Amino acid sequence: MNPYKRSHAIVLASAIFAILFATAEITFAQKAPFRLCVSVEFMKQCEDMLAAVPNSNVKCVSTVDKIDCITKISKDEADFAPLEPEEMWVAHRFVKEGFIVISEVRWAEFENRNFRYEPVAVVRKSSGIKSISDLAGRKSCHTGFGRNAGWKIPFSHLMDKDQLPKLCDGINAPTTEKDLFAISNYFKEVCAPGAWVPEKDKDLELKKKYPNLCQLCENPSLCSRDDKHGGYEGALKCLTQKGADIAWTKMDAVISYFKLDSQPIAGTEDYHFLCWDGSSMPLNLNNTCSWAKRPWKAYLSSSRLSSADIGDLQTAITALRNKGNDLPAGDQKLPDWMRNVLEISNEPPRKLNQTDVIFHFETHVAKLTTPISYLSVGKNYSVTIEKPSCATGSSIKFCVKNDLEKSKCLSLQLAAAGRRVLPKVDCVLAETDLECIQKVGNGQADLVNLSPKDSDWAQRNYDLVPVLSEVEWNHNKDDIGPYRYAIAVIKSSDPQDYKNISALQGKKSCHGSIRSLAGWNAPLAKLRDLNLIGGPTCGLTIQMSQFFGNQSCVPGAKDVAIPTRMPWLPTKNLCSICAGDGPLAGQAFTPDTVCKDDSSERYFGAEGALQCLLDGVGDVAFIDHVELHGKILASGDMKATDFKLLCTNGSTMSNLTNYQACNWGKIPSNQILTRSGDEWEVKREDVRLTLLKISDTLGPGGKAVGVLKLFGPYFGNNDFLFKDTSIGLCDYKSVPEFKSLISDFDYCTTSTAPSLFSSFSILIFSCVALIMARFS
Amino acid sequence: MVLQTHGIKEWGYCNHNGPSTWGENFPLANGPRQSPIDIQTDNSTLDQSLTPLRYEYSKKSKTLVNTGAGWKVTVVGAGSVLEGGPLNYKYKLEQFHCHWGNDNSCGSEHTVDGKSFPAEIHLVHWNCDKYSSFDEAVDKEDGLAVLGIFFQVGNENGTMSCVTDLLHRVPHKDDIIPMEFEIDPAKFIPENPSYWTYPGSLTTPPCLESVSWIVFREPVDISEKQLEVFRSMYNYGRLDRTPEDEFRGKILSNYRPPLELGARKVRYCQLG
Repeated sequence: MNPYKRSHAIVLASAIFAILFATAEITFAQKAPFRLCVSVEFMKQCEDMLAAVPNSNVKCVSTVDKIDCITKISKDEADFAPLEPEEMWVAHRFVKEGFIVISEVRWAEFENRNFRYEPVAVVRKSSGIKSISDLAGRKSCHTGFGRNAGWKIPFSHLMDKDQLPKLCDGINAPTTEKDLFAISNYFKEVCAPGAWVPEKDKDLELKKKYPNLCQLCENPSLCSRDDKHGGYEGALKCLTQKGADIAWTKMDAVISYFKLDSQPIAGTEDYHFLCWDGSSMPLNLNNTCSWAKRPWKAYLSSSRLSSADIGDLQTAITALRNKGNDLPAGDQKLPDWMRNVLEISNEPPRKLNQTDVIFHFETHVAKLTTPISYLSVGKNYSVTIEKPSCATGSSIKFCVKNDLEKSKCLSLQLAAAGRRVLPKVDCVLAETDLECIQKVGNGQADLVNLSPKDSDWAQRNYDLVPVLSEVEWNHNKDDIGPYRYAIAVIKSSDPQDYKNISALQGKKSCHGSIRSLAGWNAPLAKLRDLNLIGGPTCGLTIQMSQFFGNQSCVPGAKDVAIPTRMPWLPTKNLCSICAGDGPLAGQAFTPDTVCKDDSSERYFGAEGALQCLLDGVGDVAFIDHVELHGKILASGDMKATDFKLLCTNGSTMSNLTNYQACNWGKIPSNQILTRSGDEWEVKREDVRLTLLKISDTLGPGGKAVGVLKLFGPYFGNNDFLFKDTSIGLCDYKSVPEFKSLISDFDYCTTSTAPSLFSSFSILIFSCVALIMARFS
Repeated sequence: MVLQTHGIKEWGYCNHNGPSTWGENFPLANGPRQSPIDIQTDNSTLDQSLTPLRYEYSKKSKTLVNTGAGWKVTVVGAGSVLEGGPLNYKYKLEQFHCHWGNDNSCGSEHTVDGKSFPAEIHLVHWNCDKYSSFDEAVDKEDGLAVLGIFFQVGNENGTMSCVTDLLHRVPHKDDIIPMEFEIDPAKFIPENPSYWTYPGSLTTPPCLESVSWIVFREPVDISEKQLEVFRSMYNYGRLDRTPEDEFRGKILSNYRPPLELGARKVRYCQLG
């Protein structure tokens, strides 16, 4: 049977809409179309949708994420969008007024149900539990650790009813452990299966520490997510078969487990629902005693629309949905735009073996419901968002460097809180990286994101410690990690046979920036390792310059020479082929721009280094694979066919994606740092776990991806909070090659603590002496 | 390791943290050169030596912020200048903000012969001849110059609409948005350029005594609706609970009542 037949039957009632629609079309013609927020990557699918329904009177507005969409609706740049209840909460907190909920997205199977699911508490009658205050010391079954219906929602109510807060303060520990501690001390025995923290060994350690939290599981020693006493029905199994007192699950599971819709199983009468007000209700289909009802995903619009407009908009949405349900014929698949543009079918009902999800239209919620009252209809669903953990009072403070970055940080704060990630993020404003490092050091902020060089500096001078690294994008899934590959790029037309890498000698080089690890430090270290340059530490720079025939462009070389008291740095040679703001070397319009460490220098940065090749000025450019693929080639400004890779054995590769086999070393990614010291251990763990949760939830592939774009330009600004090109966060691991990358050069250039300075001077002096000796 | 000292009560305009309590944490609030004041027209001296002010502003602003005590627009300083009048240096515009009351009988910080206006805007400038930044100037005797302009209820203020149209997007404390429209702060200044001037202070903590005050005599219009938009802002953060103070978290009123003039003199420049 075509599953869509059913959809037709259900929407039969909306045949009236066809008529409405026919008449409405006439009025539509004069009206501005309703603007639907569509994620930028699905704009093409929106065109497909509009082509399928030519008179829809809808147009799509490209948005970066849901927060961008909410902003656009409030700015009258968009009119409507589908949002999960958690995002309704975000919308309400973000812009207090001006929104209305106009239509819900319901599953066909449950189209008469007013809520998507209803968390309930089932109690063994003989336990004598009469109210919430009777719960302490009982045996409690849960769907799983950290899950919504079975963990966070009961947790939020126990917090709200003052059952847990005093226990929360019983231990000084990271939030995750505080939560475990509180529940462990509140209930006598529990089954809370699943990973409590991402790391296996730490998870085992915690499970040993709080054994009663796994005691009711079928396999207490494993206590894993797939435990038979976990999950919606598993929690009921735990209740009925392990002699527990209470189980937290959802209404559907109670109906199917106890077979309430047919012949209730034997023993059903031994249980009843415990209601949030302390009363109890028999187990039957008429239950009205859930703890919090999760509303459906719904369409949000603006209250500036007249009620007539809202009616038209609802009709337009229905028409699109009807068309989407009609379209599948042979392959029985809904068009992609149903899922990605209208967001109607992205939540297939778990237990049903079909995907005939249907959009159900509810006019009664349509006219006057604000997002917050939409949530409160579900027994104050907001409470479940605001109090799902012990950590409601604390925060981790992210250091940001300008107003706009703070604005992204505040959006992150809201998006994370909306998804029950705690402790909450706070945002602390500083002017520079250095000020951020100081603020983290003295406790005014808790974390800062730094480049590997700055991170190294902050570790040495301010005792900060890295806890997380950004994960870099890579073509090869198995090679994804907290590092980039330094690569050497030459022109594909380069006739030179580099069979032996020493043939690189005398070639002209482009390095992007003296601060660039891939552009400067990596080739320096590699040429040293290959014994093509050598000698005392500080002589390397000069030797490298000589290796390239004193014809290089290393933007910034002229700036570091002075502040670091390295007047001997061969500035002239390191800047000799730089172009400044002119078309070629020696033709700068503004002399001062030559060799400047910013985009006023034509050959600045990775793109500039490649430009240096294309201009025929340089022979080799040193950049990294993320810059090449993630930025330059992705933007379409340059063509891959113009370049090839030069490997350190002298071979070349025209396939630019071969950087794993053909590279000049690994460069660590940006790192999240916090304070060292035993007294900050709890804070460090909170920072680490919270940011990991944020990246898992809001980042690519996360449950709430699309709410806030973590990685990517923000209103045209680059690298706010995280690098635009990153794809996630992971635990910090040092890249072993890194120390040797920076040691040789940086120990000569960065002036560190003043107390060390005298010894540096001696070092530099002896280097200079040596170099002078060599020249004489 | 140095730890930040937390726990200083946040100042505000409610009974428990209002202007009368500021002196506990900000001793300068009890100083001799505090603002605002009641301008007594009979006691102000007509000063013929005072010249008209000269001002020129960039129309570019940076951000609109809910400070928890009101709103503030930060501006692009480049290309803006204020000089003349009582000022011996050139000053640069840093930001502007407003003060208002819960009904139209109060709201302005300065009063004239005891009379309040429903609101008052402050254009805050710093001495860019002597100092290199606002932060450097803020606590210097001649560091700041603030223009004060009274609002009276009347027609909608077109320039102010640029702000009021955006305020719903910064409902909570610390909310911040980039300003996308141009806004010319000079348009807040009344047609008649007559003003009073006296040495005073910031009217909010830390109440630094660094301000040359210039208060225009002629009020300009603002509509009742615009004032209502001011009063609809909230003084708490997005994720904070609604405070249980007498304003229930709304910024209904954010003016400091007048302080003693003491030994200071108010000079008057009559023009136009």
